[in-house]
Amino acid sequence: MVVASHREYSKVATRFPVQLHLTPPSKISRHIRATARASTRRITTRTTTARIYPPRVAHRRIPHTAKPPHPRQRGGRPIEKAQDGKLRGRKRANDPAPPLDSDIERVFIWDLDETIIIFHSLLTGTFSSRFGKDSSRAVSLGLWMEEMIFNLADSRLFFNDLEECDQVHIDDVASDDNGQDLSGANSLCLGSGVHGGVDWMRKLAFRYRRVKEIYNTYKNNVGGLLGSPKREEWLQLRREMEVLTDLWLTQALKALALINSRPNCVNVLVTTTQLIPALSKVLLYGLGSAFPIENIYSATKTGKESCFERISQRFGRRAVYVVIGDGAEEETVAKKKNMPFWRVSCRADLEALSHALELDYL
Amino acid sequence: MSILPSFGFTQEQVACVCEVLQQGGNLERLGRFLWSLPACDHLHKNESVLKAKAVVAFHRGNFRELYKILESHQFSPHNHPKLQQLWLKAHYVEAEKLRGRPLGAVGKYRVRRKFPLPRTIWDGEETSYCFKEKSRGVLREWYTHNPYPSPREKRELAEATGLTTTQVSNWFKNRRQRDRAAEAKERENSENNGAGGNKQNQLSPLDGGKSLMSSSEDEFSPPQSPEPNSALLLQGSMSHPSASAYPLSGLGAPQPVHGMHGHAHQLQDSLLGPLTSSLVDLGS
Repeated sequence: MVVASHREYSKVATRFPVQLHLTPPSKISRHIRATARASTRRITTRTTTARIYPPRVAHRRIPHTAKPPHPRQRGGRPIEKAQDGKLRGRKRANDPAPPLDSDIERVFIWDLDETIIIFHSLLTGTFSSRFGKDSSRAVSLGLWMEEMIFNLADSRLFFNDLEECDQVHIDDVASDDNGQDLSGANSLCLGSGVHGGVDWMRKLAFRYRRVKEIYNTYKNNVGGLLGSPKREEWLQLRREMEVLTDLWLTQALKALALINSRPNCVNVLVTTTQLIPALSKVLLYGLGSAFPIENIYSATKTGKESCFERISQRFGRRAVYVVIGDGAEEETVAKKKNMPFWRVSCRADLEALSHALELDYL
Repeated sequence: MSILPSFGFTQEQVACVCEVLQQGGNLERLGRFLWSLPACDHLHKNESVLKAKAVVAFHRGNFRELYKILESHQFSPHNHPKLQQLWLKAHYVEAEKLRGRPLGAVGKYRVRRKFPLPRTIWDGEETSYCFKEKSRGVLREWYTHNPYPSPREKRELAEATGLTTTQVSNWFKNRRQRDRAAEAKERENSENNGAGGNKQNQLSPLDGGKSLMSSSEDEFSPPQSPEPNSALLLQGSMSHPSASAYPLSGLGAPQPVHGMHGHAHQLQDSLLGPLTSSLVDLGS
């Protein structure tokens, strides 16, 4: 399996990503396909995604008062704050669940791929050529991880159902949730039933609620979610990846932990992966403890600028926003919004970040 | 963007830290960070670093240092507003200290005139106006047709510009006055250039006393002291025509005017030729 795909990959890598959709999809990495599709979708169909969804999804929402309580912020912020935030009358239509935490002074907005985790570049060969690593080893580890990511997404996070119903944030459909246990419900299959019907929306909302519950339950216990023997495979994969990437993830986790240890700082994730696979990645890379699920945003539907805007609406003008990434998109948006940008192009950049945090320079 | 191994941060990262701490208002930490930087020239010429140093200097009341930084490096336009604010605020504070009480609008204006923004933090172009460009355009357009709007017209203008009628009235009054002053200065300049500086003759009796004292104003910088030039004048030498106006201020009104008058005729005959008789009229 690996060898054949590898040969395919050397062909694909040089033509990635523009012409990817012209190549027969069967042999191409599902992840690359999803990302390419997502990016073309973003470019060409952003305004028409409504035709995939029931039109109500596009409407603004007033936060649903009967939803489950928001997990406490660090420092034990009481729920009153959430109510308070709503009473302020601000239109937090795009950000229904998390309260505006105006005590936060620093918001670190992280990119996921190639900043915190090394994944995509393993598949495309970029990582191995840049850092002089065994390329076939890199690709095989990449494929292995990819399989685990989509396996988890499909089996435990309803990705089969939700793949066509992309959301930016886990709580975006929450107001359609009536709190019922719909676990007996049929899959959402878009081919049948009434699109946009109340029932359909409820099922959708229920799915996302379940995803949230699963994330919160297993974020510090991914092994429990995977069960044996997957758990052991996963641990081995993680070990081997750390060796290949010179402890890249370990370094990133250090910086994330430093930030989380401060009561007035938060970590936020903005990724161009679709939300469900992004959550799967976060879990499998052991980042669940670094990012509360409410702090994860997928930019596939609306682009990074829109996500950054949402985030700055959420935490307010008093906070300082630091953007951490490797790519041109986040850098451009950061400059545009006058947010300081910390570039991560090698592991040393992550070390320097930890260093700056330790010394209280950031 | 070089990595300094013993130090650990790239220049880009240093700039990022400077930005973060400035935006957060954490100036103590920023000062500490700047102090910890290695003495690398290239690093210290980085614009974010310089901006940070300026902010820290201001925060510490170290205004000499602040001015030095602002004047000695060319800053890019997107940083100009913030740095201009630092420059002005620092000068206001110093002026207030001298005066012993807070500065009003006029006082601040005088400070801005006395300490104009250095070109390193100003492109020499933008002035910030109180009224929006659109409003000012409407007023200017109207003025060219009629510089004396009636009360009703003023009300209409107020509505069109989003200003009050008082503001509109004041705008027109000031505009007329400034046009008059500009016109007077215009004539004066052309006369200076032609008549060889019989500036004195253009003053009406009412203005006389005041303008004679004008050398004390900042605006009209008095370049010479009275004595030497008046001596020249009385001896009939016209080698420094433009100087002749000022020295007379020290000498009392009637005598020198008379003396100048006589001179004017001689001047006219000898130097002017075709120049208008209006000059002679002014002298009489």
